[in-house]
Amino acid sequence: MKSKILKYTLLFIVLLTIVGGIYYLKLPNRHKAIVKTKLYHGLGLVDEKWNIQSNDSSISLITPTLVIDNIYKSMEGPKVIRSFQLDDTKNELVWITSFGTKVLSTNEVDQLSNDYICHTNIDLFEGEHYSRWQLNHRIGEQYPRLTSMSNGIESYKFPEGFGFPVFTNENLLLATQSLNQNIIGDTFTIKHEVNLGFKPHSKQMKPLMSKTVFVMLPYDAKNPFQGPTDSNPNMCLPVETKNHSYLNDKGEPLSGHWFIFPGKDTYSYDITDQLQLKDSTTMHHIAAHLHPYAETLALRDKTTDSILFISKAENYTDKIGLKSVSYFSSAEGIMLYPDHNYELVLKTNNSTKVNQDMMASMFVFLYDKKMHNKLKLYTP
Amino acid sequence: MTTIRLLIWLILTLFLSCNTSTKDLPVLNYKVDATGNKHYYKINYKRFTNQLGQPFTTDSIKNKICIANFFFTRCPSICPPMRTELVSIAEEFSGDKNVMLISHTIDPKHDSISVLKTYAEATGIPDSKWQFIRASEEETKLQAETYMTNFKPNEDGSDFYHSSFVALVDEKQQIRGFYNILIKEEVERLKRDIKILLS
Repeated sequence: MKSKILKYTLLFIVLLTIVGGIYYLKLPNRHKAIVKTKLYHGLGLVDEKWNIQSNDSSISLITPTLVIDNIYKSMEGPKVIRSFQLDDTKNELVWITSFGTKVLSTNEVDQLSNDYICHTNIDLFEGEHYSRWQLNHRIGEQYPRLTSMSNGIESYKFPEGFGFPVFTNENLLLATQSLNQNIIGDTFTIKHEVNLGFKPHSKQMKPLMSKTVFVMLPYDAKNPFQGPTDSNPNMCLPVETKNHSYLNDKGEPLSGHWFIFPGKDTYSYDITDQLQLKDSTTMHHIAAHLHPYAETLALRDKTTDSILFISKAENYTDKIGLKSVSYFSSAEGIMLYPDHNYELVLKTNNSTKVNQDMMASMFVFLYDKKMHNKLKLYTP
Repeated sequence: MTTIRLLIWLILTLFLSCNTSTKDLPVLNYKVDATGNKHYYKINYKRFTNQLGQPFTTDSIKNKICIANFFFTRCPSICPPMRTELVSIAEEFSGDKNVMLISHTIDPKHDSISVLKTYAEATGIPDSKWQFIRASEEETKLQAETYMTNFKPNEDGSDFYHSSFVALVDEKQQIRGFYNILIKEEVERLKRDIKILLS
């Protein structure tokens, strides 16, 4: 009897392993990375703890260990996510003024190449943030992304006198994902360190609000992975349709993550709706998010037919990756108007012989007059 | 003998003070008013009804530690995984009678009392531990404001914009924390903070 139970249990385990194995092998690279990261951290095979240190002017968040065992293109690599507060022991208004992300060795001291950063996103809990200031209509108005850093643009600070106001015990969300475009073979481990700089409240500071604008391209809902055809030449070839997929006013699908074909190309997208400008205001900071083989991303005022800013991407010549991506920062700012139309224009040059994936976003920081009026009256 | 007693007392005091290292949870239920001052308020209930058809009032939460969220029973997106986490929290604190979960439906047109009752029964958690409540849409929107959140239907009508954050309310009807229940570490933080309020 006992041997029968043992036999069937073993058979069940073998079957489960085979089915689980087949299921795992069929997963795309990014899902495999999620499973592996969960296993590595869950079983304690690598350090799964966060190291968070804060003081009166900055917070540093060092991630659990991320295992790089494969080529991981954009949006594919091991990632970690967590909420945090700048200082949960205090309830003080401060101004976030700078952001930075870098790659560390697992000893949390030695800095490694930033080639292993796909992106680091900082989001707000918009309910808590806007409700405190009685700006409830802003909750759910747009995706609550404060900013993003990515390969080629790993750190930046706002122009002097500008910042993003938050209370020290407010919830912020950090998601950081690794990247490995080049190294095949040896498995290695890394950590990300994310830094946010902040200043105490001062009536002289001016608040910024973040808007995310990005290029989206139409794809064929029925045959998304057919890409452009003779009968449908304007379609893009999306990388996937579950994520970064949106509908326009007519209910047609658009992708914010698509493949570019070998050679040069130009893409444009009207971002007037994404900007949601209600009043004229000034733009003081722009951080762009681009993928390798992007050359430039321009923000254009269609109404006046003028280029407001061009973010230039410098690609490595000896490997895949972005060496640098330029950003815009100005205390004087550039005027934006609610009755103007704006667009993003992306130029790419895929110098390889195979398709490469592409994304093109700008995190645009605008002067927030409504918030400023509230802050002028704020009594700590 | 006296020395030993004193030593035991000292060790116990030290242990208890470490154990209840009551990291004070912040009081978050305030708005910055038109004059720039922080205006504190309390969580109150009027005109809500629970899954049993009984009125749900401020008295229902008095001296209770509450975990509150906004949801709807037909939700295709974040509510099912949120429910799984909330079930685990309800089970973990099943022995603490003053810990209660409150789920406000944001779809009162569809989520009738009988729909809420069926939904509540499916969780396997006693009604006294987890209250599913409804009111008019207007009333629910006002309640969402007091919980520092918001909801609105998506353009295609298939889903609502609503939050994956839950609020922790203490026995004095004050909000003491917000937690993104879809993140494992946040669920742990919520459980830790409930224990802090219980201690």
